[in-house]
Amino acid sequence: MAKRKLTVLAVCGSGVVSSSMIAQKIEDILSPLGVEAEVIGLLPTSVQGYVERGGIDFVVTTSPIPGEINVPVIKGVALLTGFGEDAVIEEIRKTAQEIIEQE
Amino acid sequence: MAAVILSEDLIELGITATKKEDVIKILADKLKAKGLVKEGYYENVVKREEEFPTGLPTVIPVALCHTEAQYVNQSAMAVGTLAQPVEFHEMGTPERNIQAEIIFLLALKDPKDQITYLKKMVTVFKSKETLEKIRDSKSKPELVTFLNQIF
Repeated sequence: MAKRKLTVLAVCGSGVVSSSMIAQKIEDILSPLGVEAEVIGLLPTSVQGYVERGGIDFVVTTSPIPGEINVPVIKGVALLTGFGEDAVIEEIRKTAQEIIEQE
Repeated sequence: MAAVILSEDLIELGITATKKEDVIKILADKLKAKGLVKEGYYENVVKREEEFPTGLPTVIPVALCHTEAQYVNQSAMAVGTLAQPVEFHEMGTPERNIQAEIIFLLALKDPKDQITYLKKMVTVFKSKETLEKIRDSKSKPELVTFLNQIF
């Protein structure tokens, strides 16, 4: 697999607190895949506009996001609690792989 | 990295309040008394908790209350344990409730500067042993020592 950079939005109510918590997890999950992740923390209300401008591969969120988001959106609270975390890690891994393979 | 203040006078053990607003008030008043947060901090934590709830269905449920940096003078964390669980809405799924047993009230001046701290909090959330030790703590000095070893 070629080294590839993905741009991911980490979304939470404050745009920084729990999104910072999940950002590191996202990097840790993608790094073994040979994927470098640029993770951007954002507020739920800013996501739609941000994604529409392009360049975002997928979104991981701890808050419901308003509007239509045309990239994959993954619920990330399990990354904080540990319950159901394996399923979320797998979803992030699979989503990243599918994006890379499409290219 | 700027330090996050965590001291005995920011801890309350066995809070008997039964409403989340009252629990947050007890802890926010401690931050206020030390001049760590500004006017409006408490009101905005409560407002944000309604809009973006922070209850986490961890092995021992917790709430991670916080608000914008503009209400913070100096980064700190207040910690409260509860005589009986208090209902909070769940982060990410507000229609669900959790029965919080520990409240972490964060006041972060620049959360981007506190990433290591936030990462350590996730380690705490995932450790049953650590959460039990916090919940069952009977001594403020002991709890401060314990928490400062983690962070």
